[in-house]
Amino acid sequence: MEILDNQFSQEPGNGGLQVNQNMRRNWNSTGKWALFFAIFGFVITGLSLLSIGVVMPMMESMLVMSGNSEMAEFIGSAGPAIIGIMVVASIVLFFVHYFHLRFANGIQKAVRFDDQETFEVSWRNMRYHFRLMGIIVIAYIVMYAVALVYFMSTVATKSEF
Amino acid sequence: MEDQNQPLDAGAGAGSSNPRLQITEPVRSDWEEIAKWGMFFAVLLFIVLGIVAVGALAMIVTAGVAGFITAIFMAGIYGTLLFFPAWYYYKFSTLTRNALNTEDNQALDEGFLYLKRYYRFLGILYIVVIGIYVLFFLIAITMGGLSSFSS
Repeated sequence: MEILDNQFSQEPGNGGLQVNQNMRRNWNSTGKWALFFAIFGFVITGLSLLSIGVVMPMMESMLVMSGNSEMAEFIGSAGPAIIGIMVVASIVLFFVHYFHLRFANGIQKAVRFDDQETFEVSWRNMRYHFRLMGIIVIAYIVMYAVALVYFMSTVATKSEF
Repeated sequence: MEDQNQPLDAGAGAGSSNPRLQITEPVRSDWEEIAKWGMFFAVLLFIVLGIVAVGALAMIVTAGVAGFITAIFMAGIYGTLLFFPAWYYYKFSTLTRNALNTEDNQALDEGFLYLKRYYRFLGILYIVVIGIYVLFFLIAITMGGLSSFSS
């Protein structure tokens, strides 16, 4: 009997957790805001991609005009690397917003049409969105830590001499 | 053929369950991971909040009255902007994980309410910031136009 009860409680929708009207309302509202963030994110990512080709030559020419030719040379030589990093960052950000967009559209559709498959796919996309965001944040923290250690070691080395 | 003779508010009650969308094992697994990342972000935001508080205290100690006013201003703005997202993430994460562990439907309901609140708070913040940017842009254009007109 106990085994039967356990099996019954593990059946999807038959156990303690069930989708109710409040959840549907909250998901719908969350989906609308997520759509807003996704569109905003796409616009920002697009603008930053567009600016890559404009900002670097502009900075170089401004540095040459101001007489800082050493810095201009550095920018000129490091230019492809900086562009490469910015393109990779833009691609990663594109996927962050893409998963968000897929969640936003999916959850609204699932709530409206009671579409189980779309419901599952939308939460899977939200999971990917959170995972990617988390990885990006961890990468930022690691980069800050490395930069801090590098800066402190440089300062320590200079103060020794 | 689907039964069309149903009241318009059928299934619209606040706590009524809907049998058509099911909380399956893959969905539970997705929520589990989302809640974990939510807790990670909440902890990070609380750490940043702590750093802001320490910075404000240091400013009060070192810079006297002027520092006190700046610290209150800084802690007020940054504190509000950081506290609410952190709190919403924290509540979403703890309630959702609790709901998944104990099969508590009310906790799950509240968890998603906090996720919605987080999104709404951030959305309004974004709109305000965009509004401020647009306002400054318009002011800059107007000032530029007026100065070129007077010269």
